[in-house]
Amino acid sequence: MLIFSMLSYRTAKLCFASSNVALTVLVKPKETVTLKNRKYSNTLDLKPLSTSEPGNFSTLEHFLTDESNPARHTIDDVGLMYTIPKEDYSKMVSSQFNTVAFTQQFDKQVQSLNEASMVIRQPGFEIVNYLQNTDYTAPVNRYVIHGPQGSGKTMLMMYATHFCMKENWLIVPNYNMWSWMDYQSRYKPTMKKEIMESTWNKERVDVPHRAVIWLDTFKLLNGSLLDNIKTTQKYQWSKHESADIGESFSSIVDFGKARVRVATDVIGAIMKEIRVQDASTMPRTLVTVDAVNAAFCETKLKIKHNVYLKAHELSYGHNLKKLMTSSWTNGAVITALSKPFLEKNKKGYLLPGSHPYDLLGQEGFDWLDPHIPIAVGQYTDKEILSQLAYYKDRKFLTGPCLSEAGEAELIQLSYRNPADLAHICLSAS
Amino acid sequence: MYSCIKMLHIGKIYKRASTLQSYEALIKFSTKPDVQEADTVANPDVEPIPVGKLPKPYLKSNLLTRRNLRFDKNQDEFFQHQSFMPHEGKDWTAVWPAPAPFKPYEVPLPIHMGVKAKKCVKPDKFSSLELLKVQNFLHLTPPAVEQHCKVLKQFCTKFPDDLDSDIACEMEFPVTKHTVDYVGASNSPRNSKARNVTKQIRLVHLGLNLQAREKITKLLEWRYNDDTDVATIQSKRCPVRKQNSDFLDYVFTALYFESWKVEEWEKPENACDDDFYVWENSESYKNLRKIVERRADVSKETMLSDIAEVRDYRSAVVDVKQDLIRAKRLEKQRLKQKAIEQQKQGNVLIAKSSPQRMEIIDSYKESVLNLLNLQKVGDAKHC
Repeated sequence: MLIFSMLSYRTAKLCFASSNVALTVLVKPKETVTLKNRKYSNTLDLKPLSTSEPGNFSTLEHFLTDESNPARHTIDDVGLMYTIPKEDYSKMVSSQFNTVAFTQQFDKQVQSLNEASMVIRQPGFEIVNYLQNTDYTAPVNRYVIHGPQGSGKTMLMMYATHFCMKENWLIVPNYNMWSWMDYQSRYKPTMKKEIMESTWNKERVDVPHRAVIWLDTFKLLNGSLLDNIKTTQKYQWSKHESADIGESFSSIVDFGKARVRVATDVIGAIMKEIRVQDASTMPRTLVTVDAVNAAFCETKLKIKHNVYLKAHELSYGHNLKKLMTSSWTNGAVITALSKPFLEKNKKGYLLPGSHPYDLLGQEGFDWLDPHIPIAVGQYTDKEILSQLAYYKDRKFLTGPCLSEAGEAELIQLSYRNPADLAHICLSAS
Repeated sequence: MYSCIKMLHIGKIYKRASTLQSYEALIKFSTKPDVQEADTVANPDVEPIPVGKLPKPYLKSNLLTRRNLRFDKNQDEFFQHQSFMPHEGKDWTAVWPAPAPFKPYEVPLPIHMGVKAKKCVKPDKFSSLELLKVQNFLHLTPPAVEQHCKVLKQFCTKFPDDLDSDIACEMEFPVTKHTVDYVGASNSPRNSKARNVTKQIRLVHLGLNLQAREKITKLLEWRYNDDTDVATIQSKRCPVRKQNSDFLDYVFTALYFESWKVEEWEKPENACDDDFYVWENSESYKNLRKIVERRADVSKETMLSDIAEVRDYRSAVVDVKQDLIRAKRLEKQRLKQKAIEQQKQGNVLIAKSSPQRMEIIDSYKESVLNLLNLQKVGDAKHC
């Protein structure tokens, strides 16, 4: 301590000596930093949330909540981690096919730790609060999640989905709108999907292969809920095949999975039933749309040379966009914006910026107006420390990371971005 | 040069004049020969005013002290020749009244031109073909131009007193024409760039109504400056300047009469316009009606503008829309014009997610929450 104060005093003197200013008053050095109140750097003003010995990784005693139901999370739980129970997680993600529910980074983490746990964040708490307090006889509320890349927009959507699953809602998933608009799948870059003319309306186009995957995820998510929902209309799929009034959703879905050609029409029928039916016969419905700005731009699919389809010319896109209007009741629509695919789509075109409404565009804003915009930012102090403490507790971080300097470096390198932090911790371990 | 030096040995001995001195002398000679002499005679005690206004070249002290004596001696003698001395007591405009090829014995300057060959001295001004080839402007010294102007002044009319300010001038002559003349030492006196013509006019002077003004700004696109209200058009498509100028006149008149026309599809009822936003009867308005009409206190006859929450919401939506329009326009300008000046002004920042633009979103969110009867939870701002 003494040496430190002496050194700072000397440096201060030297500094003044080098600049040719005659000093009459000796300036006192700054107050020395006590060891308990340690600081990382000037740029990150981290307050000590935890007590630990100097030179060591900070230790948080309380970083996990026992409460696994998002409905029962309180404001004190914001910034802590919670684990999704295994029976819920197995509904969202399957080993049979890729649901693309969570982010790629999170999937890797879950595989290595054998446990799905994520941070409870303030905007997630906010959305759940709105969902609990809305009047469901009124037209549906629309939510638009926006924020910088890798800040956890998708994870926030999954948090809301988990809440709705626990409340026995019907969930209409769309984990990546752009995957419908492109020949290339997100994880299978070489696979080129087939597109065909719709049997229902000849002006529209189907993507049958993708539709079957959608039906799979729909069934996986909602499970036994589909048996109780009945149709209110007769649907003629083809000359000889039809669905009568009062047929259950699960039988329709199974039929769509077996007859690939009809799969897109089955999706249209499901979405129509959701819009038409009352609260008495239909459970509350959550519609999630990730990368919603893809629904308002050109696709990469083409029938003729150099003629690209628009989103509403796809029969799936047409039906989903109808679901995103406020023409129906007893439900909610949660959407999230995304930037990277836009850059991929339009080569050489400079985007105006990461402003949410620039990404959404005029048409998108008109479509979703009025909506509740929800901003997601980078990690706060509490969130990042509990995330790091979790990694340490599960022995995900080892070696030189477990020092004070290592911790500070992790925080500084990631710029508190959740995706970057996960990526860095994966490569560091 | 060596031949010159030989010749100089025979000539009379004059006062030594270095290169710098001779140059200073020329300036002194060309500017005010009579007055300065009179001053020096009248006040011998007062030091003469330093004449050479040009800054002296910086030379290292080494170069000044260490000199090649043999060369120096020759150089001294060389500069003693009459052709390096100023024409004392003579008017330069009389010596060189009209454009003429270079005469080494007339011009009292140590000029040289041409490439130095190997193992040879620099080519001097005597018998230099290169100096003869190029055009010189020795007949256009500042005093010569002044004299010309003095003579021409009697034929000029007086500048009108009414046009005392810039505004008055602009009211009288609203169109400004900008051209550039190029003067160069080449075989041809013509330059192809000289045909460019730009004309500017402030749209106030055209006397348009709102509809015509909207249309003309759209037709002008990036040629119209929103801040100063100035339309600028440039032309270089015709080979001669006169033709370009006439073409621009034609363009302006065509624009004027075209902007007054109203087509069937341009009427406000049939317009589908991105740049102009009216909230009433828009998508947002229709959506809102659905939500509000479900309330108990609202019937179909009540005006929506009577409800306070709706009024807040309306202003928030209009703010967002105007912001989007402004961002779009700026982006168009940036892509087409690639204006670096705008970057300096910081206008482009508006197109990115600046705090001002994020505030608009916050106010929009609050108005929507009021409308839907929801309570705001916590502070949404992070970091």
